[in-house]
Amino acid sequence: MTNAPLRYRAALLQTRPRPLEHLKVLRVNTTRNCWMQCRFCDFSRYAPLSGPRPVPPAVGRAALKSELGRGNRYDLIKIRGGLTFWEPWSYFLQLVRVLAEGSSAAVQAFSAVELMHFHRVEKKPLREMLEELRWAGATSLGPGGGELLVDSLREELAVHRIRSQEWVTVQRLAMEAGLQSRAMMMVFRGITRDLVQEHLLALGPLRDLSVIEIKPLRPQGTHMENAQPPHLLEMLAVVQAIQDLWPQVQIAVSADSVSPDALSILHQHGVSMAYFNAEEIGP
Amino acid sequence: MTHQPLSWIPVLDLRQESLTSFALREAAVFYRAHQGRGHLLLGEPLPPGISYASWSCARPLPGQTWHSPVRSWAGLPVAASLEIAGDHAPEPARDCDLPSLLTQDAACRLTLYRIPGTEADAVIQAVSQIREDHPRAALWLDLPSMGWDAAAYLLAVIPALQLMNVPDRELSHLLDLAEILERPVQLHDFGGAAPLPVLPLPEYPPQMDNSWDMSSPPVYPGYL
Repeated sequence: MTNAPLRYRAALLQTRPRPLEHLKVLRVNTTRNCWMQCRFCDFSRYAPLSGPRPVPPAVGRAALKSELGRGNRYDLIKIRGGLTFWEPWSYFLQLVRVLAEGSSAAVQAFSAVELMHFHRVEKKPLREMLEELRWAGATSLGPGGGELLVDSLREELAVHRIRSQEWVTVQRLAMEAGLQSRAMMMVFRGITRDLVQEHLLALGPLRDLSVIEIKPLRPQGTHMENAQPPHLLEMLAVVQAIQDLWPQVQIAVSADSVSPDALSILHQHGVSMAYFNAEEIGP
Repeated sequence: MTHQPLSWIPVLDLRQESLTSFALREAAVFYRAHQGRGHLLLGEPLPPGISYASWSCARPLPGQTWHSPVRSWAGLPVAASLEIAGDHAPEPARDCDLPSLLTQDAACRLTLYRIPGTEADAVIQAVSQIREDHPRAALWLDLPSMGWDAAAYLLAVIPALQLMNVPDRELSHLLDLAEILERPVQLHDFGGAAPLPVLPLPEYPPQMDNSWDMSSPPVYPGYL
């Protein structure tokens, strides 16, 4: 693997793209405590594996019902959280159920990392858990854990995170269970061409993949506090690389992670969806 | 890809100040702080006995570079100011519109400003169009109004553009951009002194917390 940086191919844009799809998002963070301690993740408050309960309880049903009772309309509900051992799988399933019943929004519930965690803790088959998620009302699995599907880098930054192959397998099983698949790509300063290629090729088995979210590294609150976020030109280069390999896939970005100018320029380059965090529940 | 250097031209704007000894002292400190390079924008001519190599005046003066006021560009969502050298900025020039002034041989540089509230794509289109219509003009972008994202994109697609009014405290952004565009940065001004290279900032690996040991799963210490 070479360290050649990924470069933006400069092109003045002449045509106007189709309008940017704005998705109003309700984010539900179950807990910010996590035992996995991935360097780039801000959900990395220390959560022990066992012992007396030292972490606050995850977000409760009452908080969800009160938010849903306010009558706000959302396009997407994203449920995510750190990994702890206090609440059982059934608790999270009920949480998805409450949200899906109380709103008409699509529900993006948990990620392959969380699924694998519960799979190991509860010793339940993955297929069964995915079926249960769909029953509870989830429409897709979140892209979490798929930041960069390059195992050598994951070994360095997130030792306990699932391997690339495992992540792809869980996503594939999710699709077989009737859930939509979502992928992501974390962009950081100095990202190389080979890393991007390897990541995009690793997504190959997800033939029905419809959305890839590009996510700039936000080092605040993580173990990589003094790392630099990516430059806009690096994000544009990643968009170009995705379009080269996955021309049919929609590219999304969280509007909270980029400036309005950057969002506008990304849109001109092919980003077609923007997530706006309208509300956030949980710690 | 071009390897033409990116310019860093420190600018001290004294157009609103009369040239008191305090203002002149400010200019002297400014020059010293930038290794004898920098451009002064003045509202009145320098007093006799004081000279700087790179300055322009908001008033047309014989033999001096004239810095025109910022005016909106007809039909496009940008504003601009033009600098015209020497004796070529006579009084009637104030009434001329910018595109016609640009055709004069004495036109030194055109600085483009973004009008507040204008969308980035509209500004980008406008700058591209001006570039297309005036391919020989030296175009500069006013960084504070353009913003780093729009400016970075424009510099990537139109390498002949340069940035003006980059604040000292944002020099690191310019160096970052130069690194990504693989272009060197030079400190200079319009006075003809040799440009000075600006070296990239040193890079350090992300600080790794020594207590961060992932060789085994973290088990609550009280449990052990």
